[in-house]
Amino acid sequence: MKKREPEKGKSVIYYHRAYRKLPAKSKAGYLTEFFLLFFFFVAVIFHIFPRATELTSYFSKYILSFVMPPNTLAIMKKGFLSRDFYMISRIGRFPSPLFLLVSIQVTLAVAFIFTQLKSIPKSLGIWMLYVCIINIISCLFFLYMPDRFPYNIEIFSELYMKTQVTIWFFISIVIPLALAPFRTGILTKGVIITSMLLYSIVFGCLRYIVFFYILTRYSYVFMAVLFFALGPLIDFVYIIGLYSFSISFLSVKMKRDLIKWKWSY
Amino acid sequence: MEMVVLILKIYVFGVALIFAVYVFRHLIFTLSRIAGEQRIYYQDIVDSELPAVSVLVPMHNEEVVAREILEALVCTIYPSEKLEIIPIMSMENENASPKNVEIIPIDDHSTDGTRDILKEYASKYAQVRPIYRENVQRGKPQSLNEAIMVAHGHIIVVFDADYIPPKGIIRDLAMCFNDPEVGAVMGRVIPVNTSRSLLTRLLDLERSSGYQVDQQARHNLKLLPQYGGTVGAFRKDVVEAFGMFDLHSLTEDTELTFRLFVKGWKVVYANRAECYEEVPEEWSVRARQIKRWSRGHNRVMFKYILPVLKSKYISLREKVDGLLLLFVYALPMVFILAMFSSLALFFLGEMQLFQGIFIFLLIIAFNAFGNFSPFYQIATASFLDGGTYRIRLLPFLLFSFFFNIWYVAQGFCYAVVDVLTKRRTNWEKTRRYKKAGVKT
Repeated sequence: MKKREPEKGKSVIYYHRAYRKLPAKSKAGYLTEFFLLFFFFVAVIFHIFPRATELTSYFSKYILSFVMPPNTLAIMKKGFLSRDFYMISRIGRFPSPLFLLVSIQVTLAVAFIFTQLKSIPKSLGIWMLYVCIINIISCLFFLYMPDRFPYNIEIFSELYMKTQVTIWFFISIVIPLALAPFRTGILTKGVIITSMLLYSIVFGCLRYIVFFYILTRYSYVFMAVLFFALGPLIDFVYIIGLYSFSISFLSVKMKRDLIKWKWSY
Repeated sequence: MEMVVLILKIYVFGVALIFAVYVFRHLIFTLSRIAGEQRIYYQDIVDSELPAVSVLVPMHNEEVVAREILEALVCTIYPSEKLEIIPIMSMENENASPKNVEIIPIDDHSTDGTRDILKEYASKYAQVRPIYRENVQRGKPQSLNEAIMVAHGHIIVVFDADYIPPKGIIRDLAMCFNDPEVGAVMGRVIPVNTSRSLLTRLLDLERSSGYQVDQQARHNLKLLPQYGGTVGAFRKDVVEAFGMFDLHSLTEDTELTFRLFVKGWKVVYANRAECYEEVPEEWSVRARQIKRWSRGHNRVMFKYILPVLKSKYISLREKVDGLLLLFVYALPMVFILAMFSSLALFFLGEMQLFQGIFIFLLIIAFNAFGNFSPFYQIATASFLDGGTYRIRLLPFLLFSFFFNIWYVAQGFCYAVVDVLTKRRTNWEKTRRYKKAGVKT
């Protein structure tokens, strides 16, 4: 058995967490970095979003053609921010009264189960309650005022694509701000934002296929739920997921690097 | 109908702007904490006289935790080199305790073994002077008021019963009162049961953000750090001059913070004065806790909006921060109404033009309410704490987001009814999880 060596004490005493900090950067430094990232990515998105939506639409059409006749799916071109974007369209369907009544009953049952069962965490229950409330409002709307529903698949597709493009622009604003406090090269920050944008494009495409399928197969009644519960909010969950991964890696890297940390001033 | 649509749009846009103000405020806080000049606390002062301190520990059926906190408190020391230069008897009161720290556990109608534990410690240690409250109104403000009346110390330190004070914390907290402007101090709270569940991990992130960044940044920027009711201290004579704590307050700590500020006192934050606490391990317990906080905080909001605005002791910057702090528990209700407005606009066919604002609202709201602070503030706090893999839990804050919105909004509604009907409220204790005899 190896003999234990006498304790020598700590060779390095790290700064206590209470007042440690990173080296200060000038306001001009923050602003320059932010605007460089912001303008670069806004320019890139402005340049690529027509092509990104075109790829999304063609890929979605290809996948959807496995489950619905290809000749019913049309790719359309519309304008947004002085540029073109692409989307797919198809004839949608309104829900029947029976479908709505069943949907209301199922939704109520789901709401009851998720809020009353003690084995389900309250946080998840409240999320489901939120989804259920939206769905019930939507069902009641279609039950009493179906002729007043202001959207069809074409408008939904247009709304979806515009939402995706808007989210890409928001990433270019919010993430450079969120990365501002951390000391890492502008190139690294650029890579983080690029990975988020790429993920968003891929995720947006897959979600578009799912949404399109649900709306054309099971009627417009789920449009509100899809938009309000699984729309932009979910985008920010994975964006923050990628952000948190980046910061955790940075934290591991910097944890014991005394040179990079400062104390109080 | 056009007018309705316009009103709904203006409302949603207005709410998005309010949230944007919060996001900007917290970005400033984050930058101040991570890279700004840190305003350190008074713990490095070595040549000052320590004031006489009374430590109050309100207890109601705390047999599971009572022994541990009392043991920690009787082991509390002032640094020995300072004890020589500090007169132990520094009080003017003839009936003063022989020590310069007295510990007053307050047994508030306990029906378990708390009383026996208190008697045991009182017989062993002269500085432990329990108060047994029976057949009077239960509650933390009531307990504190009764204890303050018999306390000998000039400074009152408060710990909840589930806290484990480290040895030097009383000195750290008491030291700031050598500054005559300071009315109260708040230390840092750190969860001890972090690894128990997803909820405790998320609460750990929340606490980290709230103290490491939020409170310290407000201290740095000379804004309004908040006295949190535990791991904190205040001047006894000031609270007596205020007429003691409001017996019907559910958040006597927030109320004291604003009372102090409007009267010209300062509240300071001691980031180095760390103390461990138990956070709720179940969502239902957390729901009751956050609903009570919201209810109490919103009542304080209704009571202190005008005094904050009118106070001649608070600068404009402090007033703005004070109002933003007061409104923080009202925002979920405002957000819920904005969501319903958005839903109405959706069915009115207005989403085409409106979707940009809607996305903005959602993103801003999510940022601001991940856990009452934006995700970048939480990440920064955890980063400063040396956290690594736990930062990856950030996206799970989505669960807290809806949970907080729901229960804080409920608390807001209760507060509105409380104010309108002047109904009385009962204090509700947060459940403890520690197993008897198990050392943390």
